[in-house]
Amino acid sequence: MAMFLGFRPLMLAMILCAGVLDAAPAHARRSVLELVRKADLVARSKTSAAVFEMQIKARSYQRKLKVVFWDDQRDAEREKTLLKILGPALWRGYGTLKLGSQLKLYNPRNNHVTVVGQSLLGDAWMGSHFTNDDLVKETRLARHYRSKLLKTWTAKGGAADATHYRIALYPKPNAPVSWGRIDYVLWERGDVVMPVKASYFRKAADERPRREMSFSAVKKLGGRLMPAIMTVTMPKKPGEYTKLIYRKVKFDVKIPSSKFTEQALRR
Amino acid sequence: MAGTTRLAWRNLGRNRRRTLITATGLVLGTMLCVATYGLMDGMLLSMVDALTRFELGHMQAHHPRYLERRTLELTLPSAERLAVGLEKDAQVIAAAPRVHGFALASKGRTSRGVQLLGIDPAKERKVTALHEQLKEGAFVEDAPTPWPAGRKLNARELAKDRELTDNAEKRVLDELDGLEGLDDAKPAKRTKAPSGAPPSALSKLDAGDLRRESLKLAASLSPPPKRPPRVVIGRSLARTLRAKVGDTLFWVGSAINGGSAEVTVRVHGVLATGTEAYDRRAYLHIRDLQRFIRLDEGRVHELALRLRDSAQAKRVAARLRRELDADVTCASELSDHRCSGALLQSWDEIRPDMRAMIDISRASSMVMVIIVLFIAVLGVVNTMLMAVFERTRELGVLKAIGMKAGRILRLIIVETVLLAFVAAVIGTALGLALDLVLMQVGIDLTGLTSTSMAGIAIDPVLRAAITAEGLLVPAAVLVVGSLFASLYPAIRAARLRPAVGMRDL
Repeated sequence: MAMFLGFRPLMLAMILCAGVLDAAPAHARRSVLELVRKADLVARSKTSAAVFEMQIKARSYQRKLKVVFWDDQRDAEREKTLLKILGPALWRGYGTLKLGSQLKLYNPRNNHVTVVGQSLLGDAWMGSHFTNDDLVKETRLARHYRSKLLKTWTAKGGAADATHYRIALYPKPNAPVSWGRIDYVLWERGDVVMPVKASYFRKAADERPRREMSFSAVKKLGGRLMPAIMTVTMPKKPGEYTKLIYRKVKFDVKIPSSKFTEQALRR
Repeated sequence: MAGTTRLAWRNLGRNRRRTLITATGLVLGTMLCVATYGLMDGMLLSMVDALTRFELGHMQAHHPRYLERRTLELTLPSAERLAVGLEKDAQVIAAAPRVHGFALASKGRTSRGVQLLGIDPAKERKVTALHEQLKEGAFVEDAPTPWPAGRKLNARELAKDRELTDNAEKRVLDELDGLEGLDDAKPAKRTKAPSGAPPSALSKLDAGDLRRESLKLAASLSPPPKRPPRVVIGRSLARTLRAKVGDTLFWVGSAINGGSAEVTVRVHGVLATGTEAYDRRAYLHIRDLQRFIRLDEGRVHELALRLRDSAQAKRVAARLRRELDADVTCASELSDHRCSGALLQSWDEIRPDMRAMIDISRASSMVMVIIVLFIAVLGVVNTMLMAVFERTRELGVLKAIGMKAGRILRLIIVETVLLAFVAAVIGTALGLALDLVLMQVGIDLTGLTSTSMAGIAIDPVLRAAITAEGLLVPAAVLVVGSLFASLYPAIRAARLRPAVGMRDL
């Protein structure tokens, strides 16, 4: 009984949302989805490699990690991602390898690899406010969520003359995601679509997001325009944040398949 | 009144067989009710026992927000002082400190999320009976694992660390620059990427040396334990990981400083409480868990208390809350960190679901008693009506010679209640005897039903427990029920007109 009660607001929201979606003209729906799909692809390609710095500020600690990232998504059934920490000492050599639905965590100090299932995708990555999912890019908003356009406006300033969209995303019935709703702000200018901010809500009817991810410092990296900085904040933990700053990005480069092996993880 | 009672008693003896048959029904009904009550109480007690003996204790103290949030940072303010204060109380046997943690435990290719419970074995023995549930090996050792403290890096080491990071970053950046595009037809020129920085001492070292240098720095910051900490794991966990005593497990957890924490541990014992949630846990020395999650010594999440009388838990908790002046205040709804005081709660305040379940079970036993005895009492109505009809002539004569209607009413009521009372006494005595037998023997339900209720283990051998309620309620229901049941025959008898009664033969 308690379970049903708990789900009621979510279900109600989903039903309401479905009604609204049906009311919108089909072409509008498709184009909203197209926007989300394009934003999904901003930092994604067939293959990519990057070096980034991660600045973590929490209540009781703060640190900077240097990380290298390798990604190969050419095989949709078996996407491969490798993250390795370059420094500092306490974290150097730690690695996360994703092969399909499997996650492997490498600990250099004990020279040990722990194999975990997808259930840990939502967990924090190395004490940051990013989840494993954020970093291994398992979830695609356009694939796992239904979208509903909330608001459109034209902003001056940073992204001058770009059309901004605020879109509400609701999970599809069987999507393996843990959020009830995501409010997504992005802008579009010509061919370019750029995410601005994503607010993640536990339940569809929640007023306050559990976490927010904002995208800033849009510039040319790896030959394309993308946000160089991603910042995650938690409204419940004021003052805490994790900032991911791209130093170098390469898209569509040949990455040897030996990169995504346990030997490479241990190297 | 005495005369009425004597008369009533004699009347009951006039048709012995009928009285005996009615009384036997009542006796059996009462006896079965008492026995069922006893078994139900026995089961509930065994459940409460499992809950309090293997985990909760009778009372617990937490940081005011701990139970809601369960984050590692929310430790009890001044736990040691609180424990000393609580143990001074005459009702408190002991207060055991605990630390909770979480890790991903793996053995070979299997991994499993595990709740960790850090305990002080000497104290824990006085509060819970975990140590008695050991199936193999030994319990958590009294002394913590020798585990040297970490230190900060000095300036030279910090410089070296930075150099190691820069070096690694440069190598990776060079590697990125050297990558060919996916669509490139011919390989790009493999020129050794020019590195702007002057060659450092590190660039002469090979990968193995760099790795050793890095690990040396990490070991100064956070040294590993001198030997694998010894842990006791629950049987379900042992089964999933296929771990035996003597095996080593690898734990990945998160430390309070947000870093990841890893340690290799050795299985020292396997315990089984029968409650799945407790048997999936791992138990280790509180100091070892504090080291693992990098929690300072003295910081604990929980104090678990054992009281002399578990039935008093709620009252003692309320009294201690007043005495210790453990005012629970949180400065802000938002921040969990500006709270003072400790939240003291009895086990049933912590697990209101269990309390509710017990109350519901009790209430349902009561309903059952009422139904069974209602049926028995219907038999009493029948018997008394028969008796009144049989004695119509006699009652008519009594009325004719001047017996008051009220006295006849009383007579019939007393007859009925007397019958019920005697039956209740005998039934309760027999029920008590049955309870005593069921306490010794028990009904083995193994294989018939699951051995847990609401996830809490219950003894598969059902044993009765004797409580005042269990003994008195059936008898009281029977006597009061018969009193009401006698009203109809009694009123009929009292209303009898003498002439009509005497004419009847």
